[in-house]
Amino acid sequence: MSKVHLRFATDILRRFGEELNPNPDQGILELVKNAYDADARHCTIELISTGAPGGTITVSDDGDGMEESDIEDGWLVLGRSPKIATERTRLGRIPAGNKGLGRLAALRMGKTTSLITYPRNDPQREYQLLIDWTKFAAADVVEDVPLNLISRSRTNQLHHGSLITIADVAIPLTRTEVKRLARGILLLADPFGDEQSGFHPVLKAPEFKDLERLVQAKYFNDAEFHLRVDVDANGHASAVVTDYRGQALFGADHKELSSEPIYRCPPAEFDLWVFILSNTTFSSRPTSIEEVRTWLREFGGVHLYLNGLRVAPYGNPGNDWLDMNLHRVQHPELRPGTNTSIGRFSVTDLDNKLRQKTDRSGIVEDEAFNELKRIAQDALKWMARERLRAREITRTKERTEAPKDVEQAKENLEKVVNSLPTRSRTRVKKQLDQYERVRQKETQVLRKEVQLYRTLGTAGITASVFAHESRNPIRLIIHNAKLLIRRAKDGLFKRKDVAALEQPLERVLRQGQTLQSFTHLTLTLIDHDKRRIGKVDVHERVKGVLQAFDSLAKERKVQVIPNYAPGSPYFRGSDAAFESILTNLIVNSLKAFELVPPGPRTIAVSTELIGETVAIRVADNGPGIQGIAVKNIWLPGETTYANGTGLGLTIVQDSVRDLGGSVDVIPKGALGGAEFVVEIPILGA
Amino acid sequence: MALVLSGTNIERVGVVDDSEDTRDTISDELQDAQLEPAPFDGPFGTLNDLIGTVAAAADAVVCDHHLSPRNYAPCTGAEAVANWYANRFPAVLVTRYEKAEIEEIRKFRRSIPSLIPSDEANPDTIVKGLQTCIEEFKGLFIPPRKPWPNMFRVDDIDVNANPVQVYVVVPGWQPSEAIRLTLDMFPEALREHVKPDERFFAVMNMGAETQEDLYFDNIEYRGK
Repeated sequence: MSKVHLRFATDILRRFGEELNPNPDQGILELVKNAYDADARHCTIELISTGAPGGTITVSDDGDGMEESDIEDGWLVLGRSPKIATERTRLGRIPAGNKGLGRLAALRMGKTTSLITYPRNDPQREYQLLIDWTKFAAADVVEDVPLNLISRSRTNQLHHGSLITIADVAIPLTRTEVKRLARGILLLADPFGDEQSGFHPVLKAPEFKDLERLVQAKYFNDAEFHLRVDVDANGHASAVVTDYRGQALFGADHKELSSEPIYRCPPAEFDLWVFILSNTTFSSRPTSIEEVRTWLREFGGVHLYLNGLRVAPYGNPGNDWLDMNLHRVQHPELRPGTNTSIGRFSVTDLDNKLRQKTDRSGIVEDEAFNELKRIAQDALKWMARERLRAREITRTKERTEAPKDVEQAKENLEKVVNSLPTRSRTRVKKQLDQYERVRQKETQVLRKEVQLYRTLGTAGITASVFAHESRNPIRLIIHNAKLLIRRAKDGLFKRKDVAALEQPLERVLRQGQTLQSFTHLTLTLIDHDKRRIGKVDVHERVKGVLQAFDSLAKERKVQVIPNYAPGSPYFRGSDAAFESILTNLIVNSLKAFELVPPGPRTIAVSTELIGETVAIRVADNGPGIQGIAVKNIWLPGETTYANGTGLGLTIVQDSVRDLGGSVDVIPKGALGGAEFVVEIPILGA
Repeated sequence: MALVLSGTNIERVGVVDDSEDTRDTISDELQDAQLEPAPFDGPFGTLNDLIGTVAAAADAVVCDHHLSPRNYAPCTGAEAVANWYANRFPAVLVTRYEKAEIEEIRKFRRSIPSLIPSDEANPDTIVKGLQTCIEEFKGLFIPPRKPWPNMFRVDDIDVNANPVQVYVVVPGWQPSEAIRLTLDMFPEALREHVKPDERFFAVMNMGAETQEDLYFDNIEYRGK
């Protein structure tokens, strides 16, 4: 019996090295990461005449260098990494760790590669190794090419580190590749953070200098918002958004951010600076909008840092791994894109939960990685919602403040007019009165217009509910008509089989009547007279709306229980505004019932007089507010129903405010489901 | 009143619909088809309650897709028919053939051999539908229902829709037609790959005449 070994063809070196590392810059970056792992503080990459074949690439560092065993058992062993992520280096770094294949791709770029290394632990020694790749090309198997590791004593013991020289580079590096390399080196050790990592790789190339100037500019102070998310070791997240002065605007705990109890991933920090690139925003700033735009064009997007070192391609130009641009297209006012924001996602992964792909093209997209994405996407969604709410608050405030401001301005104007000489005072007053009349007319027109749009919004929502509901009667009418025609052809008329004809005809009649009632409410909502300002009798209007919903409620087996306060409360406003409120709330309850298993369905509508106001309560025994934070239900576009518009409750809130009232919700009210309470000031009862 | 369809004796046919008038109309159609209608008034508390009650009292069923708006059952007809199919109980689904409905149904389409537009439910279509279903239990597929392994490509995705919409193209079926699926049709572990230009594999009925009839079963992702 003789002992034999598996051996590897030399071609395998090419396949491993080149095919698994499609870009030369990725390979060179692996050499830079080796320098980081060797605790280097500086690493210089020099490209000498690489624009044409025959150039040279050198990578030198001031790291710990290597001893004989490090070279033999580590540097020369391909496919196995001696670095264990959980063991930190002398300087406390977590090794970037790789299988040595990226390094192989870089080393093979030239015809020869030489390594000179000065070990920190053995200052009087240096090692030299020369790899001539042409010999591998000529040999059959890798083991046939011996390598000579030369050990020399040295007198100059001052420095330690390694120098790699890749000579006679076969394929020239293009400008794009050099720029990509420069960008990769520059971003490798997070140049944006406040805490410097103590690792400064430098590429000696003009492209690097240009980019370096740009990266150092750091326009973070010009950001409108700074989102910061922290995820602890237990997978619990918290987030805060601060303004450009660093003052907190919104905050969220884990529950508000995520629908899941934890994020199943290593601890992480996510920072995102969001810019509003408008001339108005930048008009009062020392920075020009164009500078920031150029900076963001180059470095915008969210960069992923794993254990302190960047992982490409996340955040590279054209890489939108969080689908930010997709969301921005849909909500340009609320969502940042990769050209309007810059971010850093830092993960500390001591347990190697995140695995880098062998071809260094990113991280294996398994659960841990997807959870990282979920963190960022949840946080971005939350921030958009908070910004929307802030906008709504401002809108409401402006609406409340505007009349007061007008009143104040009017008072001031009157004071000025009264101080004028009598003759001109009368003339000015006359003109001002005329102006006031015109202005009031204009306001009235605008109010009517707003009322019209809200009414149309409500009519649209109601119409869609009824259109949905009308399909059943329509199809039944058609179906029964076809049935009757067939039976007629079969001769049932002649045989006077009354039951065979009477029952389908009765169904046709019944469904026609149902259909007729559905059209009533939608049409009455858009009645012009209902938008006129006048006396609104609360009970009369409630009864009218409930009557209009009667058929639908019966169809859906919903019992509507009205309960009226004594008297007839009334206020000044439009019937349309009040009916919009009630209609939207009832539609809301009807939709809610579709989410629960069959059982008794009840909507209670009651009125109550509280001092000078009337409280109208709409409560149901549906599932209550679920799947959405209570504070978000009023926001336009927020809905939990498939095909919902998310406008109903926004219309309710706006209409109630127009009537000088307020609206509140109890997520689990008296009947177990949602209970809305509308309070409107009344003139009498 | 009974029929023998592909060797199976069908006498009583359950009628499941949340509208009484519709139940009566379908019952009339069944009578005209020489079958005994068994309308179920409901309500049913659970899906299993519905499945079990009907299967115990009838030989087959005609079921409407919409069951929850009128307080009848906590599921869709598509879900119910797919469950009956899995239990080899002959069932046909009646639908209005609207866009939103088709999307809801597509998730279960592999297990729904017979889909009848609501105003076309008549003795002929009901009997033919039940027959198609019974034959599938025996492994006999009509050409538009025959399953084939095939590839499809994601064309676009609308993340703001509720539920999330995925537009796909099946080059082997109709390369110029985008088909709207919902993200929840994809197994959870594959959803991260659902992006434009990604390719997936599935068992599909490549003989389907319209996209409403296409089903996507056993969706797989095999990488780039």
